[in-house]
Amino acid sequence: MSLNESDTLISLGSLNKNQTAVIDCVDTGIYGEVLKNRLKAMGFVKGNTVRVLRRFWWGSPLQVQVGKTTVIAIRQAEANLIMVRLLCI
Amino acid sequence: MQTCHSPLTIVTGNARKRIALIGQPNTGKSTFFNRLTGINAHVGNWPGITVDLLQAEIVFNGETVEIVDLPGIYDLKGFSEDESVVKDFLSNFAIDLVLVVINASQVDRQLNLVLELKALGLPSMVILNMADEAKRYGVEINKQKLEQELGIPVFLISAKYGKGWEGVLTAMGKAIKEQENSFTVNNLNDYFVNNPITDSQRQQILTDTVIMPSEDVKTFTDSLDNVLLHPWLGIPIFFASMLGIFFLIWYLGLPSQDVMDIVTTWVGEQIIEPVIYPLPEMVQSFVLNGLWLGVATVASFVPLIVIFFFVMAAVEDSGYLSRSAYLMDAFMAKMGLDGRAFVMQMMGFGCNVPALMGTRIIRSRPMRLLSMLIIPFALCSARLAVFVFIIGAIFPANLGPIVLFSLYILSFVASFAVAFVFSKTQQFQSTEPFVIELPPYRLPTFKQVLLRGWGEVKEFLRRATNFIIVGCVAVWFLTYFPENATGLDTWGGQIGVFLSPIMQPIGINPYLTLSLIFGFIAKEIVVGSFATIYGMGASALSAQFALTINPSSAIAFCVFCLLYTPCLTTVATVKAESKSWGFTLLSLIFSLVYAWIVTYIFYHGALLLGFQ
Ligand SMILES: Nc1nc2c(ncn2[C@@H]2O[C@H](COP(=O)(O)OP(=O)(O)OP(=O)(O)O)[C@@H](O)[C@H]2O)c(=O)[nH]1
Repeated sequence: MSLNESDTLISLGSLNKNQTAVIDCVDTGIYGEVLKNRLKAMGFVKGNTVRVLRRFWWGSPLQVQVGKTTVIAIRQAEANLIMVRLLCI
Repeated sequence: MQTCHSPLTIVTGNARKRIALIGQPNTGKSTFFNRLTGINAHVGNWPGITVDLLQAEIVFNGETVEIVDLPGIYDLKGFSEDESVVKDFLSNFAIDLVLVVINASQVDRQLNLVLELKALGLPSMVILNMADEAKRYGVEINKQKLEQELGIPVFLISAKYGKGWEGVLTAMGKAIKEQENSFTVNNLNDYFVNNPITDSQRQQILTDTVIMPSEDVKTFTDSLDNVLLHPWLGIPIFFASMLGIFFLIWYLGLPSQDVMDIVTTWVGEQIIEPVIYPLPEMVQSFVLNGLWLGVATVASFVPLIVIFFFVMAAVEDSGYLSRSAYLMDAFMAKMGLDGRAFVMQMMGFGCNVPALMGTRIIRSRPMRLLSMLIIPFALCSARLAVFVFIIGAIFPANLGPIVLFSLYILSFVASFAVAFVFSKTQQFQSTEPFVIELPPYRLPTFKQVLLRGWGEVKEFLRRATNFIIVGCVAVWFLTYFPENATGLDTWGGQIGVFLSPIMQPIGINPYLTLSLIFGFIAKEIVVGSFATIYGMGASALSAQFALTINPSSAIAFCVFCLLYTPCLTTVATVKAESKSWGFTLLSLIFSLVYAWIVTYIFYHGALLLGFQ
């Protein structure tokens, strides 16, 4: 890719609308493996891209595009568990 | 002993060969299943399995084969409730063939499930569904290559529009014919701990066989989302569409209930009455006011359920229902629920019964039970009829609408207050994280919607009929005996008198208590029962009410009627949907206690305010 990935890890929950990032890893939060598995099946695997399409009132939930063909809704708390690297264009 | 043994056990003698459908949620499994089985599907009986599984028998080359639609799962080794169900199923019931249904446009992330099944060695076929959408997104899949690398036959189809259908059918027939053994799968998780599916394995296959679009594709869905999920427009549009649906049910569904009532009344009067005429009076009354009333009650719900699920299926298939979860999440999350529960609560204002059935869209059981706990507090149309009568008889015309509106507000507040409190308890705390897919907007097809309505009615009849008829017979007993007794002299009336130490403090006299006992069958009956209890016609009754019941008692009666035990059909549905007597009893007892407390507050509040 001609785009640069930033070196710093940030959480998906901290992205602004329309920012794109590359997934690095998913932390295990209070939901443990259930959430990890679920997120993986929804396309949250290392190297895949994510983009925040919009946030609702007070920032949550987020509407996120994962890869090219999947769109999901996720709460702020869960989004905070997903670590990504921002794509600098 | 930890080995690399396959966890498969060969079982011989599956009397009837069995095909299971497995796939992620929303991949079109049900659509596939419906196309395959038409209207023959029914809920099967699988000992030990806690959710309803649809199954059907179909004939391939003269051989009858059983096909089962398993719940949507993300991952075979997952830990969610649905994933446990699938695991239980696989370990207890032998399978001859698995069809893995995949959304072709999302093959990149759904391939894992295929790899897991392949690793287990279960005889499988891969159904890449939604070929039409994959094409629109520009996802290209090299089918031959994929087949080669997986060693499993692959079919690119569209279950909704029928593309590629013949090919799948032929292949299924052939595969099932050649399949001699049946398999169960045990200790699946242990197996995957020792033999994990690696990301590189998956990545390799994807690189070889799939080209995902390289650019973001601007779709119709994006444009529509910009409006429907707009931070400011989204909510008003949502409420407007809820209102629209509500009115649709109101103007189409509820009158259909009246039509059914006319039919059953006619049958009762013109056919049953003449036939049973020679029998003793008591038997006649039993048949007509017990048994037949039960049948009529069941029948009156049939058209309503059909119409409700026509509408729901359309909303669900369109993709808007999951959007509602997004829109209402901020508000609903505080009560341990999500937007889907909100939609069902709104629908409950039309009729509680289909709304309860509709909670099936909520996958997490604690959350679903919580939603089912509060739906009966929604002011349904039947209660409305009672309130309109009482308010009309007791309050001046200018106050009426305000009282009625306050009852709607109360219904709303009372429901969500319960959710708020109960969601803090362990039993009702949802353990599922909130991550849901927002599928593209789709046009529902007529056939899909029709099949859904039909299926739901069949289910309702199967599960609720007996319960409702038994309930009607029980109430008949209470209100018929001792023979020739009327009003407070019947057993039911005596219960009303007996309960007066409890009911007087909340302003409800024994006559009204007796009508509430009738109301257990259906709230519509309450108004009719006044006539029987007081032994007078409607207009005389209004006058009598105005004289004998003061406004505070009227308010108390309405509030109690709103919150106490819902109608028999609702209770039957709670039981059928929760599959738990414990929960059903909790729901019953809680609503009685809750109704009493809230009524107490309102009654004494009204007294203090001077509504004598
Ligand atoms: N465009 C398109 N849509 C489809 C196709 N097959 C199914 N759908 C739609 O996809 C949505 C989900 O289909 P379902 O059959 O309910 O999916 P499911 O896998 O049974 O979902 P769960 O009941 O959640 O497990 C529905 O709106 C269908 O109309 C297809 O081939 N093409």
